Amino acid sequence: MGVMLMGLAVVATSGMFVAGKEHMKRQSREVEATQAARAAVDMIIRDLRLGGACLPVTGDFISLDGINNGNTDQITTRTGLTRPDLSCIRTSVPTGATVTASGGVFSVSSSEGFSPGMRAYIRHPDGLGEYFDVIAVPSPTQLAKEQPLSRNYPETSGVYAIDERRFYLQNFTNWRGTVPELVLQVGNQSPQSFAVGIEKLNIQYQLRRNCPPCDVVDLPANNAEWSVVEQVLVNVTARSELPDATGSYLRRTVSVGVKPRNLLPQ
Amino acid sequence: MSMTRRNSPPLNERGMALIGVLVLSALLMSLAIALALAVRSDQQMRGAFGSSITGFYAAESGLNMGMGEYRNIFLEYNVPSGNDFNPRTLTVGNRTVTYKLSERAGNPQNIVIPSGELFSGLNAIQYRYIVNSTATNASGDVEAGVGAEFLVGYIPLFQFVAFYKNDLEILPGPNMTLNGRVHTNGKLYLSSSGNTLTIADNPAQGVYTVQVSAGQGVYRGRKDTTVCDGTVTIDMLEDKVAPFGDLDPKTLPCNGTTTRLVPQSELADWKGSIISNIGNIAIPEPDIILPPTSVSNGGTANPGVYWDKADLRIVAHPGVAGPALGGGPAGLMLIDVVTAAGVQDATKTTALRNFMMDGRWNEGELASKGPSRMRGTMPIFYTDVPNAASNCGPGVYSGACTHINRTNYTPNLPDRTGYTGNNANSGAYAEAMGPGFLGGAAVATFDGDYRRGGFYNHREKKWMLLLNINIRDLILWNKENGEPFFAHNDNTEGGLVIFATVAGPNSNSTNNNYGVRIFGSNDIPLTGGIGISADPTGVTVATDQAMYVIGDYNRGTVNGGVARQPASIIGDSINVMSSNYWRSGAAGCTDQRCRDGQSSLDLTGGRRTGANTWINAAFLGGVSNSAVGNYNGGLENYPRFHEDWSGTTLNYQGSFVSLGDTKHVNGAWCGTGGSNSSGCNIYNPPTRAWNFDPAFNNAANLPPLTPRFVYVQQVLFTEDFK
Repeated sequence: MGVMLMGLAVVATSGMFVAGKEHMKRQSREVEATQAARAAVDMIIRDLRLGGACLPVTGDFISLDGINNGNTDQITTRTGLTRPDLSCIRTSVPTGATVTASGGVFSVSSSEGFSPGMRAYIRHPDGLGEYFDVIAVPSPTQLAKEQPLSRNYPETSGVYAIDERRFYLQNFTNWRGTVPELVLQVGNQSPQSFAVGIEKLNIQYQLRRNCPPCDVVDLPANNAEWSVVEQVLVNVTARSELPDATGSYLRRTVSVGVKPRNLLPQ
Repeated sequence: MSMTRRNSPPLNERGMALIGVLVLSALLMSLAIALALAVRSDQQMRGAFGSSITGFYAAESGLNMGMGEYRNIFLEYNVPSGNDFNPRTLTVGNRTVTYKLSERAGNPQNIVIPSGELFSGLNAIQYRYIVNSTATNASGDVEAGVGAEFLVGYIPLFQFVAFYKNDLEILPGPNMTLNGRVHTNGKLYLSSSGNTLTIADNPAQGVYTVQVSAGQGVYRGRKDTTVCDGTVTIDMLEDKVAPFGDLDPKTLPCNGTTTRLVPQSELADWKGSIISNIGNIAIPEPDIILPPTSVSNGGTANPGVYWDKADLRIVAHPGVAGPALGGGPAGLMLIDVVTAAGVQDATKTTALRNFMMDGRWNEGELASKGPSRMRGTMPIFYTDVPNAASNCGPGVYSGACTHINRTNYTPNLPDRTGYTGNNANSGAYAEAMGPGFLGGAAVATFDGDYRRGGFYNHREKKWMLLLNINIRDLILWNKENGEPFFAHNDNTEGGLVIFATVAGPNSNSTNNNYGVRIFGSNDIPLTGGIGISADPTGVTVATDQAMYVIGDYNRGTVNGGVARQPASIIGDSINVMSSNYWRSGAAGCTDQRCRDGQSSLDLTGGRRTGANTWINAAFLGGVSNSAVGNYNGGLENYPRFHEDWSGTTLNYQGSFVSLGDTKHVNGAWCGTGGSNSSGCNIYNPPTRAWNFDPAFNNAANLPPLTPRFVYVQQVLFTEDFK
């Protein structure tokens, strides 16, 4: 009788243990998925909030860019690089000078803060610009560019040191099979895995248009729409690394609205 | 016995239940511990996440508070010093937020604001500051930090083609093109009465960009009435349409026929060349042109910068008789030179009187000196108002009014030499005005009567009391006669600053009849000049009363002049009279109604006919505000006209700056055309060939004491979670 009772108790307790263990595993996956989603969103938020710092506020809009592709969107943020004391690294073509398209070295008001290897953006007073790489800083008032430009740039053209970050999803394969991940690409460097298990990245843009409630678009259609982006709506879904006993993954979705603080001057 | 023994539990089964219970308990315990750890771990993660977020926002609040406090320092035209750089704290919930201002090395810098930023391309004196803010929790841990860089720029105002403190309206009748930047701290109204207003770049003239900005909204249409018409075209910051090298224009349409506020989302199509609601930027107050109260009851205890920094201060004192000039009549109005403290400078006053009496220099009889371009005309004189015997008064300029009869003045004005009849009696103009004027005879000496008479201002409905100064002759005579007034090459504050005022009983009146008029200054005879020297000297002429400029001013090398100089003209309001004003009109000028006397005639009839005129100088003056049903004339009427300019052109190159309403004249703009009996009888408009002076893009070419506005901009926001 005692053995029977004990057996029953063991069976019941074992069941509870197994159930508890499953719950713990589920909890663990939940935490993992939630944390993955949070981490991904945190980083995107952070970069979006900083997007546009030290960059031009008129002309071609370069602070944000994106691709709309259902639940696998892509977003690019650009910020100006700063010196150690946080001041922006930027300068202008001085009065009377011109940046020739083919030339290497050109004059600027100040080359302080620029260094070889930096990505830079030169902006014409007409609002259009292009990127180039700094290969040398010959003097306190000169920069040397690696690539030829498409045209000449007159006095007052702006020169900005640029940091570019692009977030997008991709899959990679390991011994468990295909795993989705969020990757981060900085400038022209190789993309690096940023958060594993992110399978959906859906981004929308709230514009300062027809407010309230304000238009929301999947992707601004042109520069004019980009420059009235009031808020970026980020929706990220993360899944657990492993499926449960039924083969289903546990998923967590985090949604947040981000106001890019640097898009327009204050 | 054995049965009994068999019925007893075997010895080796004893304690199994206990063991089972212990095992189960252990399993349950481990489960509970694991669950507790998991929950605790999750809670900790959630808590840490929540704390960091809360801490971050607390730090951000400190940043915002700090930036607001520091911003106020700059907006009051100060820079931080001493305690301003000490850390400051505030409490947010149970967190302590510490924020601190730090200054970047190398402040300030003279820079050209890079393309792409607000006010790009402008010269600025820029300061850079960093604000850091951290949030510390109750345990003393720093949870989050944020930082921001902000720029403080002092930007010279004369780099705009138009810069207004109050609402700015640009509603030209004829086609009008503006090249350069336009800004108002108020609302901007853009329209055109059936024609086209164009705001565009002009690369050939060095104007590469366009910026139209408003502290408040941008409206398409009129302010005084809800009407939208004509065509308004403003260049976008885009060059994708041939011809290249020229910004692409885009029309700002009316929606129907009523005035409308253009939303920012629509303005975004211009990619930054039109910006609304940028907030109120700090600009100088109109009192920067006030003299001290010891000089004028229109002054202030804390005189403005133009008085303080002036190289020469000339004051006319209505009601105060000065000593007779040479052999001239006694009892004329005192005109003297005073110090910054408002006390007569005896030495310079004597020099001024010598200048006023130097007929030989004026006629060019002295080798290597002079001559005046207004030979025979006294270089400083005043325009008197008719006395009581003339039967002229405010609003009265015809009928019984005989204001231009020389005998109506006390003492009488002298005869006009060589003329008879009515002409001889035109005493107000008795001085021969030089060979170029009415064929008057040249004079080697003056009669000492430094009066004229009879300028009637139809807009103000008043006879005006004007202090007239030939700026060119003043500068040239000073140079050739030992520099008694100032060093000819003085470049403090960027060059020469000459302040002139009328300090009479009505100086403080909101509607007086005082003014300063500058003339005879086709060129400014200073060394070098724009395009000649790297940092030309330049001249600024300022008054706290109405300012009038007559004829070509600082035109440059044309007509034998020297290169144009950085120049500005500053007054309570700015009035422009054509180069024909003192010359023979189309209908001749053979009677007493010549020159200032023409102002009492109908606008029609040909004796108030203007002529093409060239002015190269920045203007800083007051502009009255429009109200519903009362249009102020718009930017196109910033300079006040007093002639029939039909078919003639005012060629203006400079900058129109208004720091607010006028203080001493309040005559309403009432339109154009008409006659004494009907219409306004004030003016007919010129063809407005008006442009920003691209030379002002170079800080070295800005006029002396160019006023600045303060511009504070956050350019960077950073965050740092711990």
